[in-house]
Formats: sequence, structure tokens, C-alpha cells
Amino acid sequence: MSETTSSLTVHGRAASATGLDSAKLGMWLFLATEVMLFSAMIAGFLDMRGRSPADANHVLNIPVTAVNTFVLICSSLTVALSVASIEQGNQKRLRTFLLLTLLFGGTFLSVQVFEYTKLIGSGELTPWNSLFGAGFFAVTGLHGFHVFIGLIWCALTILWASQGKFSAQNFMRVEVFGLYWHFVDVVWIILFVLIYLM
Amino acid sequence: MSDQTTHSMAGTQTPVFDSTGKLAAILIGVTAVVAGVVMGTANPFLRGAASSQGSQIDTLFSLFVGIATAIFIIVQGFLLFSIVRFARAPEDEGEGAPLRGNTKLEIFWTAVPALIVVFLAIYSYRVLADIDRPRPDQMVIEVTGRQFAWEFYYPDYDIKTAELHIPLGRQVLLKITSADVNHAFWIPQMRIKKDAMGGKITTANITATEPGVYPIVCAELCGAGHAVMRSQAVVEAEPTFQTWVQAQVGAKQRAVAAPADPKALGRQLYNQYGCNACHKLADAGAIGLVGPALDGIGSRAANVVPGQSAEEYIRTSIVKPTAFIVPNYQPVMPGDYGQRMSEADLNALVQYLLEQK
Amino acid sequence: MTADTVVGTGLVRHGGRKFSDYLVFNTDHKVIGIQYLVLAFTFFIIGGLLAELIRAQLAVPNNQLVTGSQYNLVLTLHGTIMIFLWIIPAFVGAANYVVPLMLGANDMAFPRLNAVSFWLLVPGGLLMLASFAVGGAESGWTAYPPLSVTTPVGQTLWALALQFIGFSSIFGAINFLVTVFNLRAPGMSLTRMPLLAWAIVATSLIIMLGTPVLSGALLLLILQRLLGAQFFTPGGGGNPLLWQNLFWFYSHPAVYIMILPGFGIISEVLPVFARKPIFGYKLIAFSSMAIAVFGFLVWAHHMFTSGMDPFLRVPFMVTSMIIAVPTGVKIFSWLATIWAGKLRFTTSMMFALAFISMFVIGGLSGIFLASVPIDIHVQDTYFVVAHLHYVLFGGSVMALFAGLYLWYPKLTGRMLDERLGHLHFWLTFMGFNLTFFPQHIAGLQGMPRRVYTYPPEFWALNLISSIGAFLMAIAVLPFLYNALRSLAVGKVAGPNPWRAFGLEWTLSSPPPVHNFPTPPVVEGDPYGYGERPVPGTRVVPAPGVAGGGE
Repeated sequence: MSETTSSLTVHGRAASATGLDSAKLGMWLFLATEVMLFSAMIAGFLDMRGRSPADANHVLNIPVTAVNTFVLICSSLTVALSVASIEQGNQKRLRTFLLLTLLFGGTFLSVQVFEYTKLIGSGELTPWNSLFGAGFFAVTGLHGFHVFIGLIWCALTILWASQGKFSAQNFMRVEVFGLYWHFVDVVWIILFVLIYLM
Repeated sequence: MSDQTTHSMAGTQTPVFDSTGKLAAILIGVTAVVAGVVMGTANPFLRGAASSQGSQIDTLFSLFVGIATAIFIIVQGFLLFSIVRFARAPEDEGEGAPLRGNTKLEIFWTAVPALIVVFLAIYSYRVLADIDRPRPDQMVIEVTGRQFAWEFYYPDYDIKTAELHIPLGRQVLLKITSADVNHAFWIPQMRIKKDAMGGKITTANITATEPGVYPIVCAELCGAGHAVMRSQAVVEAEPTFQTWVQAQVGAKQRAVAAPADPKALGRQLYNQYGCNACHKLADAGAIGLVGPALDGIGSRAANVVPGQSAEEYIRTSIVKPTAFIVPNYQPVMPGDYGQRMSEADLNALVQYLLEQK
Repeated sequence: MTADTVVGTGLVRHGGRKFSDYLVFNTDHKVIGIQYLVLAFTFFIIGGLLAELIRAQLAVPNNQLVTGSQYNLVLTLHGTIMIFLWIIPAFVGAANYVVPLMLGANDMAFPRLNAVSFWLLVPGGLLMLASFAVGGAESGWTAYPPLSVTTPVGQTLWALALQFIGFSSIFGAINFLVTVFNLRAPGMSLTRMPLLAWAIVATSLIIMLGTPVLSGALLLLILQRLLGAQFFTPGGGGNPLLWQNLFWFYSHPAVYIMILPGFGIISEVLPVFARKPIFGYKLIAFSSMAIAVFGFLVWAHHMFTSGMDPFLRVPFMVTSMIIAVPTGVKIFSWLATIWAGKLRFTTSMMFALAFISMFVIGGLSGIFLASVPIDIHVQDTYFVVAHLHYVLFGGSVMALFAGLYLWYPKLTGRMLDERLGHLHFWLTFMGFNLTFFPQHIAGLQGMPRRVYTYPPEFWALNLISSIGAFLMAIAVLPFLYNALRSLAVGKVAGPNPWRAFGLEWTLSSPPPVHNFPTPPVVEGDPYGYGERPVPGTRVVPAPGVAGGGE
């Protein structure tokens, strides 16, 4: 074996038998597991919703959350633009759009935390005083946790970008992060409709 | 590559399907059919169904046993035959026949089992549809499971008991629920089982066909006393059943009409709160076996825990059962009687027990 | 750098050549495979001791060895440990070691993720043991609420432990799928893959789609226990059936997670010792995939008596019965594989043959359970206990041992002692049947499961069961002694002691750190007995046999 790299992970043949990149394939499979997780949580939530009063969600602030949803959609746009930038080798635009993504995502999460504090602080909706509340906090909380992980991941990607680890030929990590971020956004849109609007 | 052995590719190859193989196949097939018929007819595993759906389920079960026996014999037969017939000769380093498949055979052993299971599913469905069918003269009994006793309420007569009595030959609709965790109501001899869940009523129909006394068992893990959560079902002819009902109604009326009679009130409370499910007490007609028997408790109670009077001991044992566990018994009695009973009821029950000398 | 050098010296290494290499974050799939196997076997011993305690308590009626509450803790931990910390990780371990070798790959697709998967099991296992020490996980491995939300704090640790184990499982499954799809050696088309690889694909798909649902359910359970949310308790408007639906959506397919790799191993063992190609390769591979699909359509058969919609029971009954068909197909294909072979009764082969024999019993009792009217009677009885042990011990564990006896020489470079192996086999086989066959009858005659005592009429059946369990415990001793002793004094195995096909047998035993110094050439599937010469063996062509001189 002519391998000389000291990396622990890089050895062996790079070619893939299916022609798909392993990292990307792995990420898609991971997202499939996430789909199942959120499907289970949403199914559970719908069961709880059905057992709660029809107007159980009237305490939720729809206008604020609608704006917040828009902020999250913007972050999906910026992450797509960051991938497009590095595809053309534009390091500066890559960093800018990643930073914007971090900013939008951070805003979304802050508003969510603010909403939680208000709901629980006023006692209008808590995980323990109603079944709807229990379902609301479980599902949106799990999503919020995913956003939180995404923000850390985004920060790491920015760090790698500033270290110049990406190029027009090598940006798989940006793409994989982008897949995750889009997924989290799509989930939120579904949750927004199911929880706030229905 | 050091491991070099000399062997021939197919040296003394065994014939794939020679006359011995054919004979064995026929023999295994015949044995399977005969054994299946014998086992299906004899059905040694399930006996003595005491309800109408029990007999139907047993007939279905026999059919399954017959088919399963036949399949079992076929698989084990071919396995054993191959082990004996195709064992390698000590020096034979050759290879077996390079067979990779046989489309006809593979279609055969996919299609035949598929047909068998479809047939079994259809037959099972017919039995299921029939045993679930309500009949017009049903009597309703409400069943409540709680850690760790069963309680039966007869809305027609407004009586509550810890033992199930059902008239022979009349369909009973059980409406089952739970006061706490999940339980499952099971009368093995009647082949009837249904979960008891809080906030939900599940139903089951039974029609008893054999008079007798049958155990009622909890089949869903419900806590420390799950194993001893038992009661019994008494199946009796309609007149006997009516006599029993009248006796229950009478006892209840006496207790209501003459609350001054502390003994009658005590008996009623003893049964109302389900003490009878677990504690044997002849005076109250209770036959429970889970906890210690309370016959003569009034004379013993003062000597059980040093420093506790008879009354203190009995009261403590009701409201805080874990304070003292009688040797050889388990700490499984619910601890919520202090909340569930009114002070007056508690006093009356303690007095009643004190008088059991 | 040669192919046989361990990379790294600290806590992060790749390759296993000395003992300490096995104690660190090692990214070599072979090291991780052995780490999994050792961890799993340790938990097999722990779970086995718990089982012995259960059988000791039940040896006589009204036994006072443990209390009802302790008994519930023991049975919960026995079930959970055997499923999540023995069978599942043991199969993952075996597959981790051999599947990349079989595919001609130098490692798994994501070696670091592979190590992460293993190291997630360690806190999972420790939390599980902590939950036992603290006490409280007393609601069975199924943990039905409301009981599981009233039990003490150990239940929360139990749920957390399962979360760790679940993540380990999910990451492992993704890794296996990418490995099988992308890292096959040139020439290794999908239909040339070993059937174990097919089984792992099916298993991984089930894990991927099922385990996240369990994670979700456990998350809700933990939130209910910690925050007082009322997801599952009727008092607060919640729904106990929600847990049962989510739990069984995962846990029924989990049964196939525990048996499909076993099917795969049996399909590898039989051709080697029957000296014949596997019979019906495509049908076996296809039936694994069929089981993976149907496995998701049968979960409610665990809830036939739970008051679910009565009409919904019918489609679930039909799917539950139909899933017997792909399973039956495999049994018949294996019988055809040994037919007209030249059978060599090595210990591995004995376990494989016993697998066929025992698994059929578990499969047949499964059809009984699928039929709603019969299930109404036998649900939650010892009949179910007997059924699941015929599947999981008679099936999965027999297959694991068949695999261990087959690949031990590859893992260690040494042969196991065959006489001790046969002793292990016969003790296990007899003890197993003695333990579990009587339980069918006890259940049919009215003994519910999960009880710490029973009416005296069941004494004889239970005593036989307890004696059998004692034999099963004894059976582990010759295996342990054999496995440890052979490490030092076993006969040197050489690369291919069984004269087997399969790329793993073209490498030295144990294989070099980076597996294949030159990419292997794949000429056909690994079942060409009697068609092609086994690589590394000299062949005298038989006169008149077509293809003999290929």
C-alpha cells in the first residue's frame, strides 16, 4: 500500500461503487432517519391535538411566528447562496452568506426562546398544564434543538471557511451542512402550519 | 497461501435425487400428514373450554396445531434425513452437487405457504367476526382493574363485588376499564382476554357453557403485585345466579337500611373497597389469597407490632400498608386507602375488623 | 508504511496489534468489531445471570427469593439487556468485522463515525447498569405507561440508556448502508454480494426507519417523567395507546433487526460446510428485503387485546401471517442447500443446523400469535415467552454462535477446540429446549408472563424450565474457556482453514491492518463450491464435470 498520509480515516480506494459521494449519501440517509423521528413526533402531536380543545392554540402569537418563519426561510436562501458561491470559488461570499445564515438562524432561535419564556412565565401554556402544551413544547423544542445543533455546525463551517479549507473543487462539507439546514427549515414550515395555523 | 489441500472438484458426487431420496420424501410427507391429523384431532395442549367462543377458538387452534405439526415434521424430517444421508465420508474432500436453484421448486415453496397462511387468515377472521358478535339478551357487567384487585359492578342490580358471577348460557358484555395503570382481564378457561386501560372502556363478550369456578388472571404487568392480582369467575345456572344476586342486593339493602348495624356496614365496606379481593374473611364471604387472612384479626392485632394497640395496628395497616409486612407476604397493597376512604368509613371498617375474634 | 502497521499511538488509533489498541477510540473496523463483540458478550453474561435469577425464583411456587418489585426490575433488565446490549450489538460487531472484508473494502465508509457508534454504547451500557443499581425500571422492556411513569428514578436512567443505544444503532446503520453501496470491490456486483451483506442492508434499512420512532417515544417518556407532561396518562388527557403504537412501530421491526443478520450468517455457514452453493440466492436476498418492508406493516399485532379498533386487527393479522412466507422461503432454501451436500459437522455447522430446527418452531408459534382469536387467549402468556425465545435464542443466538465458530480463526488466527465446541453446542441445545418448550404449555394452560409466582399446578413445567436454564448457564463455561484458551494455544489457522470462498478468506488471519494490500478481483459470488476452485487450494479436476477446470 502506497499510502503515506497520517490521517486515520483516509486510506483505501476513493472510488465509489455507485458513483455517489459517500458523505452526501450518508447525509441523505441521516435525513431519512430524521424524517422518521419528526413523523413520529408529529403523529404523536396530532393525537394530542385531537384530544385538546379546538381553540387550544389561541394563546400562540401567529404574526410574530410568521415573521420568524420568514427569517428562517431567508436563512435557507443564504445557505443555498453560500454553496453557490463556493462552487464558483468565491471565498468571501461564502463566508458572508454563512454568517448571514448564522444570524438568521440565531434570530429564529432567540425569538423562540422569547416565546417560550413568555408562555411559561405567564402560565398561559406550559408542558404540564395541558396536553396541547405538552405536545407543543415537545415538538417545537425538538425542532429548536435541531436549529441549535445547526447553529454550532454553521459556526464550525465558518471557521473552516476562514481557514481556507474549501475551494471550488472541494466543498462537500458546505453542501452537507446545507442539506441539514434546508431539512430543518422544511420541518419548521410543516410545524408552523400544523401547530399555529390549524 | 500456505493452506494447500488436494481435492477433487466433484469426485464421488452424491446423486441429487435418487431412489433413496424419493423414498424419504414420500415417507416424510406421509408422516407429516398423519401426524398433523392426529395432533390436530387430539389437540393435547388446550383443554376444557368453558365458554362458547372458547370452543370456537379451540377448534381454530386445533387446525393450527395440525398444520404446524405437518410443517414441523417436514422440516425436521428433511433436516434429519440430510444429516444422516449426506454426512461426508471421513476422507472425502470433494464438493457437493453445484445446484444453484430450481425455479419451479422455488415458486412451489413460496406459493404453497402463501396459500396456507391466506386460508388460515380467512378462517381466523370468520371465527373472530363470530365471537365478537353481540346477542340480544346480553347482561352488562362493568369490570375495573386496580393495583392489585378486580372489581365487578352489575348495573342491572346496582351491586359491586370482588368476584365475578355469571349465569350459564347467557351472553355477558364486559365493559372493562382501569382505575390506574394498564391491566389485562383474562379468564384462561374461557379464552377471553382484554386490556384494562384508564380513560377508556374496552369490551368483550362471553357466554359461559360449563358451570364451575375459574381463575381470573391479570395478564398485563401492572406493578409489584401483578402476579397475585387474581380473582375468580363463578359460572352457575340462572336460578343459582339469581339467588346470589338477591343475596348481594339484600346485604346491601340491610347495610343501607340499618347503618346502625355496624357488622352489616363493615361487611359492605369490606367488599366495597375490595378488601375481599385479597384478604380471606369468612364473615364477609371473602376468599382472597393475596394478603394475609383476616379471620380472627381482632384477637391477634394487639400482639403483632410491639407498642401498637390492636386498633392502631389495624388502622396503620390500612392507610400505610408498608409500615409492617406480615412475614411471607409481599408489599403490594395500594397505599392510597387513606385518601380513598372517608374518615367515617375507615372508622367503621376498623371497628368491624376489631370484632373479628 | 506497510499495510500491517497501527496508525497513531494515543487515544485515537487505527488498527489492532496489541491489547491497548482495543481499549481506545480505534477507527479500524476489525478492532471495533471485536470491541462490540466483547462488550456484547459481557452483557450476555449479565443478562444471563438475571435470567438465572428469574428461573431460580420460579423454580417453586410461592418462592420468597425476591420480592415482586425486585422481580419486575430483574425481568425488565434481562429483556432490555439481551435485546439492546447483546443480540443487536453482537450482530453489529460480527458484521463490522466481516462485512467490509467480504466486500473487498479496506474499512467502513465512515471509520470515525463507526468508532463513535461503538463508544455511544459504553455510556448506554453504563446507564443501563446504573438503572439496575438505582432500581425502578420495573415495567418490562416494553415500558408501558402509565406504569412506566409511576416507577422510581431508575426508569429515567433506563430510558436515557436506550437513547444512547438508539443513536449508536442509527449511526451504525447509515455506515453499513453507505459501505455496502459504495465500497464494494471492482466486480462485486449487487448479485455477487454475500447474503450476509444483503441481510445487513435489510437490517440497516429497518434500523434507519424504525429506531428514530423509538427515540421519539423515549423522548416523550423522559419529558413526561421529568416535566410532568401528560402524554401517556389518561388522567391528564393523554393516551396510553400512543406509546404502544410508537413503541411497537419500532419494536416489532426490531425483531427483524435481531434475526435478519442471523439469516445472513446461516446463509454463509451452510455452503461452507455442505460444500455446495447456496440454493436460491436471489430468492433469499429478495426475501430479506420483503421482510424489511412487511416488518413495518405488522406492529399492531402486539396490541390485539388492547382495545385498538377491532376492524383494524384484520389487516394486521393478514400482514403478520404473510410475513411467514419470506421466512419459510429461507428455511426451504437452506434445506435444499444441505441436500446432496457433503456435510461436515463442525461446531459452526451444528449451530447452523440447530438454528434451522429451532427457528422453525419459533416461526410456527408466530403464526399462532398472528391469528387474532388465538392471540386473544395466548397474548401476554408464557406461550409468548416461549415463542420469542425460540426466535431470539433458538434463532439469533444460535446464528451468532454459528458465526463466531466460523470466523473465530479469522479474528484470532487460531482454531477453536472442536470437542469443547461440541460440548458447548449440546449443552446449549438441550438446556434451551428444556427451558423453553414447557413454557408453551404453561402459557396455553393459563400462566401469564412477568409473574414472580404462580399457582402450584404449574410447578412441574416451571421446574423443568429452571433445570434447563441451569444447563444453559453451564453451557457458557466450555465456550468461555475454549475462546480464551485457544487465543494462546489453539492450532494456527492459516488464511483459509475451512477451504471457503469469500474475500475474507483470501487474507491472512487476522487480516492486515488495512485489509487488502492490492484490490481484490471478484469473479463470482462466494458460493461457487463445486463450480470453481477455492482460491489457495490445488484442484484435481474430476473427469467429465463441466466447469471443473475453470
